[in-house]
Amino acid sequence: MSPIYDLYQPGKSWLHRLDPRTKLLLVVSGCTLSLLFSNLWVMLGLLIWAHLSLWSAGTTGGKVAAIWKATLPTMVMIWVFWVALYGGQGQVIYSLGPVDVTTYDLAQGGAAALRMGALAFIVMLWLFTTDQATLVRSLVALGLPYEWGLTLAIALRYLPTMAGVFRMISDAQQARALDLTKGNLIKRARAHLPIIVPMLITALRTAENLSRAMESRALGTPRRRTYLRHLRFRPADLAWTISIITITALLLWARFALGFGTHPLRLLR
Amino acid sequence: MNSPACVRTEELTFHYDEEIPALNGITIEIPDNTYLAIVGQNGSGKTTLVKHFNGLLKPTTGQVWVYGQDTRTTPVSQLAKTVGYVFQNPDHQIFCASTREEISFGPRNLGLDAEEVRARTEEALKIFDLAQYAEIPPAVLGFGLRRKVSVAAVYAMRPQVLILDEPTAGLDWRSTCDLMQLTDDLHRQGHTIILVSHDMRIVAEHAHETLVMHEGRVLAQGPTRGVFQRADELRRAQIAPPQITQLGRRLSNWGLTSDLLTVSEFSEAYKRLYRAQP
Repeated sequence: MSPIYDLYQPGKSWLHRLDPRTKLLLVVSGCTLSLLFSNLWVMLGLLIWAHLSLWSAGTTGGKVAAIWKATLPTMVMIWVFWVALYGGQGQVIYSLGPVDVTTYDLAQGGAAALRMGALAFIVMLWLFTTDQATLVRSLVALGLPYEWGLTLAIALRYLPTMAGVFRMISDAQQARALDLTKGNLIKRARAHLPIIVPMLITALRTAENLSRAMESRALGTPRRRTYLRHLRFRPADLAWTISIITITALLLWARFALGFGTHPLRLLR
Repeated sequence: MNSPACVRTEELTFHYDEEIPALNGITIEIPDNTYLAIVGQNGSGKTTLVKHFNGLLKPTTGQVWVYGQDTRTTPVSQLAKTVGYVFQNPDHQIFCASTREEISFGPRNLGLDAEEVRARTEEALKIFDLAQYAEIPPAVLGFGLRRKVSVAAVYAMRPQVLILDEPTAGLDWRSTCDLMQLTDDLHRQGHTIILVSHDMRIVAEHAHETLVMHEGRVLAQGPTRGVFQRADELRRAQIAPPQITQLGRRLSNWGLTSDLLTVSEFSEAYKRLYRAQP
């Protein structure tokens, strides 16, 4: 029995009930704010907010842990490289050869690393609580051609599947005595070639089979599509939309007019 | 003579997630030079079990030994020297620009010298009848040939134990017979063969021992002939014995034995019965 790789987790929480378009607005606003601020505390706030939202939507600890497992190495790398390469501002607290470590750099690197985590978890608010059909439906309702929406949804849907395939191929090659742990970084990257090539072949075969399967179920016939499930924009969704726009606008105003959240440590300039 | 155990597990339990164990307290011993079939429904834990035999999965609790080596502390690349594993999907391991290169990948990883790698590759090409495809990228071959390449690539590593996970799925009867004949030859040469299969006819014709799995537990293990007699366990595991065994059983009132495994055994028994008629 193999583990099942799927992002969507069924439920009836406020996030599940939210109109997918409103949810998309929430995610886009969250991501925009993550990219515009560079303050450690703001990033921490966004990350905590994303976690609280996921918790209230009943997301399992396993799913949250999986995202941490995927993003944490990159976050640590961003932090280390930031401090090592952009170093030198503010008071030096530790010197390691040519690298001067300062509180300012640590905070700025930390904010950049947390931004990565915040972005990942905010996007997951959307993907964990919206099933594939609704996801496509919302994008098409916003004006995207149906085929494009479907393509995007399939790409998202297949990310975890491909992660599973990656693991399977990695197992298969290790069973042929491939050692991924030996040698320096370049040698180890080269050792991944026997995994990457079958990945590409499998992905191409999957894409080909999938497109044939969809064509044989009449995808692309030039008729006006009808939908089984219709999106309903409820009064609650309107309230949410207004709140999201207001809060985002206020924060943007604070950012540009007052310099709120631009310093890595101080909230105001 | 008592042969040493090649694989031994003790109270092996494995969880993919917190809830249901995929394997639940499995204690088995597979003697050297056995031809063992592992059967059971989808999701019964067959693949999960065999993935423990070369260390790809490590027990959540309990232990697994391969020729005395604890799989929790021995790297997969080390265990790969003694345990070869052919995966269900050949596309999960094919990546080289030619079939020859593909087959030599495993032996090269074992650190053998160039001459030995060449000799083993040529031998595998010959035995598996792949010489004519030696320079062709294996990824463009048909499914049956890709399957053969994936088995040949593991065979060239000369592992003492060969695990085949549903090797005949998607193969036509001719390719199935060819492949199974090769596994019989390897077994005669002294290798241990572990076959995961849903095809009871193949199990009956080739495997000397059979292990029945159900919901992560072992329901029955023993000589194949005996296992196919254990109606209760088979029913629980939702496995039907081969049709020829069922036919023999139904005709047992007329003097046929109920433990016939293959068509040739059946026809021999029938001939004997016919000749004995007054």
